Order: sequence, then structure tokens, then C-alpha cells
Amino acid sequence: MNASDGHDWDLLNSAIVSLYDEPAHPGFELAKVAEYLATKVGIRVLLKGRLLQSRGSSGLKRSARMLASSRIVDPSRRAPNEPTRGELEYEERQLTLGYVTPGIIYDGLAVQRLMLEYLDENQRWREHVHVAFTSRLLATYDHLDSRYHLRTIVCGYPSVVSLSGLVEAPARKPAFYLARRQYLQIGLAPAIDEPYADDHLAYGDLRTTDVAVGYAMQALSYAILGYPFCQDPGCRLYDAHRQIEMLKAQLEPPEYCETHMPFLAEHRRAKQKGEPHEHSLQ
Amino acid sequence: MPFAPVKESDITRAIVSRFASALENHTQNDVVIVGGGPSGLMAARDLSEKGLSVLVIERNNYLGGGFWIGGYLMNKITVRAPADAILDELGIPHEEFAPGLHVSDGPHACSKLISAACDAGVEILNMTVFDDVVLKEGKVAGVVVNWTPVSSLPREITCVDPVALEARAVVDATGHDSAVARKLEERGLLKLKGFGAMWVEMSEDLVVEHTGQLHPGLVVVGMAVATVYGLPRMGPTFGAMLASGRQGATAVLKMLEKTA
Repeated sequence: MNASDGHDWDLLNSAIVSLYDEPAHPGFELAKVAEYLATKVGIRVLLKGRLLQSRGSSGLKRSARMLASSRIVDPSRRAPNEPTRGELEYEERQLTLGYVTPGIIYDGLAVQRLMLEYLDENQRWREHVHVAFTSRLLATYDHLDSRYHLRTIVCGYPSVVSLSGLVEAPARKPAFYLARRQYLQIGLAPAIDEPYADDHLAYGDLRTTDVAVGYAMQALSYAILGYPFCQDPGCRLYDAHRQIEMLKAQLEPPEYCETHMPFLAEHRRAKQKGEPHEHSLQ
Repeated sequence: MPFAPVKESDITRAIVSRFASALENHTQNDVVIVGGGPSGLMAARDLSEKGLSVLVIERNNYLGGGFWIGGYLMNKITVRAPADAILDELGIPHEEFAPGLHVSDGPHACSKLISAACDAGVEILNMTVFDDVVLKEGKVAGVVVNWTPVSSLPREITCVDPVALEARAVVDATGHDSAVARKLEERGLLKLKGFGAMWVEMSEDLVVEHTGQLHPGLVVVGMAVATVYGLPRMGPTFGAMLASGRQGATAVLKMLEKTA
């Protein structure tokens, strides 16, 4: 432990990142995230693929029940969902096929707990960082306003990045919602994305992987530094609450703020030379 | 050429006798479908083509639900791929407006769908409102129905008891009302989740994927699925309704196979 800044640099030097995803999320390439982490941070990355894989009939039924119970039907109610037969069958089918249709909202912490059970027991140690990308929409309950909120990332062990959350969680421009409400009132839902396409991420958006990379970095920051977010709106570790902020932080240069950029560069340099990391974050 | 001379009494007898025999034939059915919108008609057509006796209950005089018109009373309806294959199958003309988005004339599409159901042998009771379910040993085994006008007249002159029609399977195709499922909820047999959020997209796939058996003897299709499972609400794209109807027919066949 480096006493000057409170961060465990040995942890970063010895860390391994395992990345998981779910098949068939259009526009997302896990290998590109792995490549970014390996080159940008100089960290060892394992591409694991699908995390919630079927584990026999009883395991499948139990996992399906956990997922169905964690559905959020009413964002203002913090109570487990009582799964219906149809919901259980749906979750079983999805787990078996390994396919997730976005649209259903799950309690992010419950999904995280389920994913923890699926991690290889031999790889559950502090230096092994697990980041799962999911197509599921995740929300967590906020006691401040007593309701659930959609999330892009739920940090923890493992950290879970919601790819559909990247589309739905950060707010879009007010004009978009106004237009959508007007369109829905007259029954014209389709094709309203078009005028606002550049302002927010969409399903199947080719920018998805580039944006998701920043959230992998946030997960890594949480595991290594103890916090996922940076206060600087220009840094990829910024916790964006609006689409426009997210796209700016993730896609526009510079990638990182003046605090995190040198930190990453120093770590990468030290790692390549096999030296200890001596750069400190203030 | 003059019309054939017929007596008024013959006209009345023709109507009464044929309606009575049709109703009598359908006091026992393989399947009763409650709701004659696109999902209900699609399920009815597919099941009837499989040789099952199918009765559709429709509370309005007209069939087709919202399938006649798209948004803002404009009579063009949209269907997303791959449901355009169903339009082809039913002989409904359409054009690809944008990649994956097909548009068709509402009246043409709706009348073709109704025609396909009738041609397949589906019997239809319009102006007939669903009142309750018939339950036998915890299984949905039919429906209780009445004339639609009964419910809209003063009670003192409409003390008309409903009648029961039995079925091996019942399909709830009543749209957002999910009227059949609600009757089970009233009895404490299941709990509906209500409307889902409007703040997320992509519910068409979810509606089809959740279509299926809800309770022994009951299959739910179309927008009723969204109410039952609390799925996100969606705009008027009808592909999911047709696909859900088809999926519902498959679920009915599977359910009947198990109970045969």
C-alpha cells in the first residue's frame, strides 16, 4: 500500500480482468473492450464470454426464479416481484438461449448477486476484477427520492455494465421526450429517433463499444482505486447523467482528465518495464 | 332481373335458425378466443386451420380492433420485419417504407385478416361481451357471455342472465383490458402487473416472447400480454399482434396436447 495516496498499487500491478457479455447485443464487441484495457492500462485481460450459462436443470430454475423475482414492475415500490409462471418460463428460455431482449427492468443488485454465483470460485480474489456486460436493463433503489433509477453501471463484485442502460439511463434532450409524448398521443411511435440520432446512443448504435469501454474503465477504477467516478465532465470516468454528457465524456478528446491521464500513462510505462508504479493520485 | 320473392317470415326463420344452430354448435368448443382484434383473429385463423373448432367473442359489432387504422386516425398500418411474412401469407399488399418497416392499407389488411379467419372456419359471435370465466378444478374451461347492449342499458330493464360456453382452451385477446386474466385476478388465482413503463423502448419482441399459457386452460396474446406482465407500452406497430396471435395458437396446441 502506498501510504501517500491510500491506493494499493500492487493490486493494479497484479490485477487480472475477466470480461463477460451476453450474445447478440448488436453493436457491441467485447474483444475491442479487452484490447483497449490491455493496451491502455497494460493489464491482463481474459475474455470469458457468456456469464449466466445454464448449470443443470435445478440451477437453471433457481436462476430463472432469482431473475423473475428481481423484475421491477413499479419503480416506486421496493418489493420483490412475485413471479408468475409465464415470467419464470420466459427467464428459463432466455437463460437457455443466452439471449436477452431489452425492455424488462431488473434490480441491479439482485442481478449482481446472481452473477457472483456464476463466477469461477477459483477466480474470486481481490486482484481478479470481473466486469460483466449485459443487455438487461438495471435499476437501483434510491432512498433519497424513494424510487428506482435506471443505471449504466452497477459497481461491485462483479461490476455490471448495462448496455441497454447506456441507451435508456442517461436522460436525452427534453425535446426528444416532448416529441415522443406527442407522437405516442397520436399513435405514431416509430421513427422519432431520427432527428435526435446524434444526441443519444441507440440500440445497435455503432458507437456502443466505444462508449462501453469507458464504463469498463469505471469498473476497473472502482476495483483498483475504490471509486468508479471522476468529477471532471471531460474524463471517461465521469458519471454522466445525460446522454450528451456521456457521449462527450466517452467519445470526445481528451480521454481522461489531468489526474487520470498521467496515472494511466505512468502505470502502463512502469508495467512495460516491470517497474513498480510510483505515480500517485492527489 | 327481379329479386326472388321471399316471405318476411322466411327471412326471420333463416336468421334465427342459422344463428341458433351456430350457437348450439359452439356451446362446446376446442377454443374460445375473447377479442376479435389482430392477435385474436390471427390465433383463431391458425387454430381453425389445424382443424379445431374455434369461436371468437367480440363485444363490438365490428371485428379487427385497432387494425383498421394506424395513428391519428390515418388508415395506414405499419408492421416490422419479420412479421411482413404474415402479411404475405394472408395476401395483404404492403410496401417496405424503410428497411424492416412495412406499411399497408388498414382496411385492406384488416378485411383480409377477417376473411382469412372466416375462410378457415372460425365462428364469430359479435356484439357479445365476455362476462366471466368457467372454472373447473382450477382450470379455465369456458366463458360466460352476454349481449353487449345489456351492459349499456339501465339495470331495471336489463336483468338478463348470461350464458356459458365451454372450451378446452380460452385465449385472452382483449387488449390492454386483459379482461379474462382480470377475472382470475379477482379470484386471487394470479396477479396482473399492470402497464409497464413508457420510458423504455423495444416492447414488441417482449410481447411475443411472453405470449403463452398464463393459467391452466388460458393463453394470453396481444396487448393483454403487456398488461399481464407489466411490459413497456408501445405504439401502433401491429407486427407483434400478428406474431403474438400465431405464438398463442402454438401455445394452445401445446396445452391441448398435454391435456389430451
